[in-house]
Amino acid sequence: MGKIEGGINGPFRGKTGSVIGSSWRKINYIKGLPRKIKRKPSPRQALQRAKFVLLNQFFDPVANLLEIGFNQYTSKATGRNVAFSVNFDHAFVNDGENVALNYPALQFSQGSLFPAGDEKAWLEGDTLHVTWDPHTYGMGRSMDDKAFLVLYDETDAYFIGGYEALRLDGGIQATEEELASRSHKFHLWLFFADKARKQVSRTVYIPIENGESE
Amino acid sequence: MDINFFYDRSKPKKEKEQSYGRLAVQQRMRLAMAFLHPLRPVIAESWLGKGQGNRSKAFGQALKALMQEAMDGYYPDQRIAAERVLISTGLLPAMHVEDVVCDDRMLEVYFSGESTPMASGTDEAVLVVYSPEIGIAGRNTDVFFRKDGHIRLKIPAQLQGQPFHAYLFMHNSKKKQFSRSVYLGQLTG
Repeated sequence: MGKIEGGINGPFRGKTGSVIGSSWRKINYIKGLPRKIKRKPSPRQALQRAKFVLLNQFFDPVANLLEIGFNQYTSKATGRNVAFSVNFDHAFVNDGENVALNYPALQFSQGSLFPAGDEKAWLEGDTLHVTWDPHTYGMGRSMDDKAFLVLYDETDAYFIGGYEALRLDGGIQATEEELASRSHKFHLWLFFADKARKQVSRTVYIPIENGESE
Repeated sequence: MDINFFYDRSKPKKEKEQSYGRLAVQQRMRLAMAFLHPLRPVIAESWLGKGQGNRSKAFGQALKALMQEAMDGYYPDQRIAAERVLISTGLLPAMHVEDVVCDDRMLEVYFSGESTPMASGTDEAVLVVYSPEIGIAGRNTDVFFRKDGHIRLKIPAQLQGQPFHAYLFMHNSKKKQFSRSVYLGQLTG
């Protein structure tokens, strides 16, 4: 039974007839009861659903990182929700019927902090080397900004790891067994957040040399 | 009964047409915000006098000045005239730029460094490079004085090989008084 907590015009909670009232992050919702649709989706609907599944599954393991990357927008949404809406328009490459993610275009963060510039990444055996320009150039960056790196294996469709460093470090080295496999396709993204994690930079995609992701 | 009274999902929604003036102002605002936003750290200081000590008022004043003085063209082809943008304003005497030397890593500017009753030799120079297309800016990290007659800046990695705008201005040692910024032109690192 639904309860009207804020008077006759107020929002309600619970099931009332064919609708359900609920509240999440101070937003009041009225939802219809779930119903099963037997009709087959149209080709455009099927494509749209495939895109939703693809992007949601991709962002699922890095939900915590997205909370940092999109923290300016998370008062009424989760980081994953925001990442989904920011990326949806440009996240896909569509060749006829198949849809795939456009990895270089994906953003794990959005903000006004300046990215480093001169980013490079290369593989040596099972070690990934990443470097960036550590200078601050007087504005839009600080030495104690934290760098967040995300490494993804496209072939096995999973995130190998997330790495953290300081901007002033100018780079990192990461050793992972999976990196030794040259037949796999890897993707690497980098963004920065200030010490208080209030300001973040946009995400930069770094092509990995000597790997298969070029 | 008028048949249009009933809702018809196949009928496209009527979009409310916005007036030409409103669209033009919206575009002007959008362009001005996009141009000035990456320069916020500089503008918050250099326009502080106009913002009565309030950093966000200072930015608002800079935005207003840009929209009034530095816009060219008519909607939908409005654009920002970077040479008329003031990233700093005030009564401190500006300098006379004599030479600008730019290579792929470094930008050097030579200016007249005369001291007058209004302009102290210990006034500090600030050189700002900025590319609105890339959204990256940088300024000098070392201190250069009016009496030095020159200033040097390391060009940020993202701007190397790219066209960027350069501005120069002065402030006194307490950062209370600022000069109007001087546009040095569009350079390529």
